[in-house]
Amino acid sequence: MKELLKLSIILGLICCASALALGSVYELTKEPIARQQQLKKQRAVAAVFPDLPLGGGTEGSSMQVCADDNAEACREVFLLSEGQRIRGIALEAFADGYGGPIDVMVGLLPDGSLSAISIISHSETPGLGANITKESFRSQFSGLAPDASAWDLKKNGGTIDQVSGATISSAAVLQAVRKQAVFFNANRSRILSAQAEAHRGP
Amino acid sequence: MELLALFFSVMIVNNFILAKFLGLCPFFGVSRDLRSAACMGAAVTFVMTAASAVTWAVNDHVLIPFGVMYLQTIVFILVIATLVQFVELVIKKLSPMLQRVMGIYLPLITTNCAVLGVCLLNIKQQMSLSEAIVHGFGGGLGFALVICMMAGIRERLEMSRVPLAMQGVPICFITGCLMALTFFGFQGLFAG
Amino acid sequence: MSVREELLRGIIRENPTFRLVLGICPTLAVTTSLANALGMGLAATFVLLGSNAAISLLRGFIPARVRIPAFIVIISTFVTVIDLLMAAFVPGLHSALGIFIPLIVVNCIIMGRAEAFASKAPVGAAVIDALGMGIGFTASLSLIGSVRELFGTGTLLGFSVPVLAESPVIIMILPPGAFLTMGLLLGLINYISQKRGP
Repeated sequence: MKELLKLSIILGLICCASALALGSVYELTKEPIARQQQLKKQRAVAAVFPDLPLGGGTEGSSMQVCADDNAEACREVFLLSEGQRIRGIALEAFADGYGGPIDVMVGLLPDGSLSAISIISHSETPGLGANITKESFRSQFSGLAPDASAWDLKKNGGTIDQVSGATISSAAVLQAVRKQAVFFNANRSRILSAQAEAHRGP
Repeated sequence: MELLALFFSVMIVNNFILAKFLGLCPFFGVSRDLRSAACMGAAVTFVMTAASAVTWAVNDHVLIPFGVMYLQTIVFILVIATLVQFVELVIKKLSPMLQRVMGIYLPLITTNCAVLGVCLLNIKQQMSLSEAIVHGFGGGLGFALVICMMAGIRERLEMSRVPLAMQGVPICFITGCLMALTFFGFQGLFAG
Repeated sequence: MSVREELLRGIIRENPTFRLVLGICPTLAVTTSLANALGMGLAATFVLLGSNAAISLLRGFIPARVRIPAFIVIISTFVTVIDLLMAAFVPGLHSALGIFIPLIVVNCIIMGRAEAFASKAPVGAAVIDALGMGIGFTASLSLIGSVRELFGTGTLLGFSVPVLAESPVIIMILPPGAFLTMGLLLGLINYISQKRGP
């Protein structure tokens, strides 16, 4: 009994020391990590609006938008604005890729047409699915006309050439992009008018 | 239907050993004969399924509410170690047969990266409880399948002539390469 | 044993990757490029240094019966520390290595050194042992990473290499290429040491 008590006390002490160490390291790294994540998002937002460089009158902010019918379907919307006028809307999407989730940033113009997309992170097969990050695939999205239902892969009658050997990854990216555009079109008036009370973001 | 796709996807296409490189130590260490490979496979499948469920619950009901996600690694490995001990105790009490089958392999499983790996992946890919359990079970079965195939091949290799420098572990890696190539043929099936 | 010999033991004679064939999971998984391989090697070395030093310092204090759980707690503490530090200061590398950073916890090399060496040796020797093993692990990973990156993408550390860059062999950065590279390198090392005599 005494032996057992001694063992548990020693193990407990080691755990306390470790918890203390981890807690302080966590506190130390909390801010840099949050900053890195924000930076990553900012860079992704900037990447989908190549014609709208931040600064020089253009400001970035973000807000939460929820669809009417479903309180859980809220998402973060990034806005680029010049004074009172909104110039660009960026939405982050997660696609079910081949090797795991693909994190895509979708940049839309106020009329609903597509500015550009960028892949934030993915775990697709190198040399195959990973080619979705290539300019040659992504650039096909730039400048698509407002009607999102017409955006499709070539084999389904659309205009987008899929990455060769990676139907699933290509289709996943397309699906995610289309879903964000549909969401924007459904909530367009709310997003565009909410500029005034939008939270001041990054 | 989606669960079924996930099951086959982690078992065959995204096999833990051949595509994700998880659990390689037992893959090369315990594949000398078919019998022990099968026992190891059974034990790993069992622990991976149970660990998926338990760590998912711990993450959802303890780590997230208390905001201590950064303790994930340390908590998960302790949960797995405890779980393995517990399973060992239960098996000892319940069935001497099962104990003979899994007994000596259970302690090895704590440090099998496939087990901790599946738990971390469940959380990283934001799976639901049922998805996590299917992920663990399918992944475990895939592990068992591949380790048994490897053991079968190695039993044959014993009788074939292998260059001196390639004998033992090196030829096993080459075998692993050929198996991984073969499994690549399943790419595109069961996307999940 | 001199410090130099002690260091060389981990790097060459008992090289964890090519001699003892330990810790193969990260060795194959993250060596798609030299940069990833170096990052993984250095992260593991940090954990190894920390855990070996801590365990050696506490060796009189930890009772033999609970040493394994105690080692696990100590090792995973260091792993979480490096995980958080990498997320904060090298986010690109952190996301490239993914779950293989927390998986350093179950890397057999670290547990093996704790159990076989650090729990019985004074702090100085344990640190040197960790340094040797860590350098050995990093060097082996870098070797595999260079081979795979060179042939798989035709680059080295991101710089394009003439001739090879013209027709990269994609299979080398896919899983089968990892097994192939490791098998051939092991065979080559066996061949050399057999040639030179035992």
